Amino acid sequence: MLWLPEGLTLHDALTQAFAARGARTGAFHLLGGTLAVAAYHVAVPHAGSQRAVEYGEANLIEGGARIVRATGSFGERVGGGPLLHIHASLSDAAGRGHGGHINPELCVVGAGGVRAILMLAVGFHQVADEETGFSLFFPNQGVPHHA
Amino acid sequence: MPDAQLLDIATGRLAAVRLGPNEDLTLGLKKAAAALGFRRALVRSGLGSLLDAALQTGTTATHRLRGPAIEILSMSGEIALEGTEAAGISGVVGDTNGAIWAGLFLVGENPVCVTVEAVLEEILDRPADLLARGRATSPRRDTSRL
Repeated sequence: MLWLPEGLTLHDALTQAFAARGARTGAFHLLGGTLAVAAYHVAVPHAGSQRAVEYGEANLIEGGARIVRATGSFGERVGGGPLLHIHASLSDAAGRGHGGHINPELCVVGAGGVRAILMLAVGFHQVADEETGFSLFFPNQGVPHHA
Repeated sequence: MPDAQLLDIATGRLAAVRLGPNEDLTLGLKKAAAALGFRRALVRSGLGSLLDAALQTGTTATHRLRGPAIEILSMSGEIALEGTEAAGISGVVGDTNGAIWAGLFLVGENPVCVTVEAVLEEILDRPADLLARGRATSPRRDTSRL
């Protein structure tokens, strides 16, 4: 369990936290804390798209947000380098809930930091998936796809 | 106030699993658990998307959400390949407006959209569980050969 420091993007804070523990893959939870910049994506209508779904531009929560809970996977990107997949429930200044696919490059850890639990015993790596048209995380231990 | 009943369990292996398009969330995780040799498992973590979502909400109500993708923001629970002791899988989801909803994922009614990534933790039998089910914890002695 650790604090992600204020001022870093979620991407930098989490990739540095895993790297500091010698881990290139894992899973994690964010238990609480604040985001000075909170940005997330949701699915949008996709007429004409070859893929199952498309995601729109980032929704920015004005004034930042409090993390209620976030769940994430960490692993290697196609072609190398770290990749994060994070979904979160967030609370805005009025107490309204927001949620979606977090943009870790845009989100910035806010005052007081973000509390995180890292799970280092499991991991994922990204694969270009022909079925969905997305590059997706698959488990490292090769558990088959149970279609 | 009644006393809580403590269950004597231990956990074993931890595994990352992935479900693909059109697989049902709960049934897919049960298949994944079976493939791993997990008879029971805790759903420790999970995220991904559903085509549409069906949640048991309140005590008996059903709430349905339409996609094109409903995001699973967090989920947790328990699955079992046999018996009815499992708590099921509950979670928080986000709709296409970014609004959040929560409940128990109804079995067979939550097809995966793009992907689901989850972490399962094996629940192991402890001697007390085995005894409670009437199974012997050690082989019965065969006196005919003594």
